[in-house]
Amino acid sequence: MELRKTEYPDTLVITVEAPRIDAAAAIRFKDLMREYCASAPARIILDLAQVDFVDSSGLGAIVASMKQLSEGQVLELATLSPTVEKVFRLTRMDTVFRIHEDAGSALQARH
Amino acid sequence: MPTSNRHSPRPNPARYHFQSDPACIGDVIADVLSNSQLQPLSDDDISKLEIILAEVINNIAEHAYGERSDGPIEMSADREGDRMVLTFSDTGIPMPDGKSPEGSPQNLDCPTDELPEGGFGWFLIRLLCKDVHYERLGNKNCLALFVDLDPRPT
Repeated sequence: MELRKTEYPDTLVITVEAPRIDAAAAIRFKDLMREYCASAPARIILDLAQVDFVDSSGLGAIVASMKQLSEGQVLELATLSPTVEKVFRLTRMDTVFRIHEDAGSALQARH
Repeated sequence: MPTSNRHSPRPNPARYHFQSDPACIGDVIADVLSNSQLQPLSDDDISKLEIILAEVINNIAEHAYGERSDGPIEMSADREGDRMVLTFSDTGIPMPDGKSPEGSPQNLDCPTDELPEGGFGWFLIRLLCKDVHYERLGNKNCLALFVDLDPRPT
């Protein structure tokens, strides 16, 4: 599980470089997210383009990453695979996060 | 309902034996989903089964075996037409009150810092399975899940 940061003037894009965010990866994911978000601008986009699958532990870790943000920071998601989209939809977490088709459209979208 | 008739020409269920190690769960699931005996599976079937398998096996590793990574898990997958029967057994601690969890939906109508970070597993399992049977037999947890699949193309 690795995360890659790409910095834009007012946005940080974090790309997950792993096929799964699951029970085995959740703790490392949360720790890396804490580290990367600590110095991030107000808007953070988590790009899941390389992620095929998120289980409930991974979903919990994404929620935890949002909860550990500083005041004024937001976490948005981009590029959900059909299975990942299904997990968010069934748990209704798609109502909690702003979800973009991909990182490009997320960067163009107004806050 | 399963019957005692064992003379059907159907192949035996696909059987798997593995340990409660979270690092291996992804590989086990990939093996099951690519098993030729269980094909054809639609994209929708695959995502449904992937979610169910991941949640059940995680729960066994986390709760039955208390995060021990060497607990034995036996699993079978048997396709009967448009239905998949999945069975799991482990020798970990029984489910609370001898029953499989209800898996109630989580309340998300709350401030961000109160959002739930867990408790989605059984909610997803119940939502995606047609039927769930849990029994404690001796020192074993025995779980059977019945999953509706998309009809096989004719």
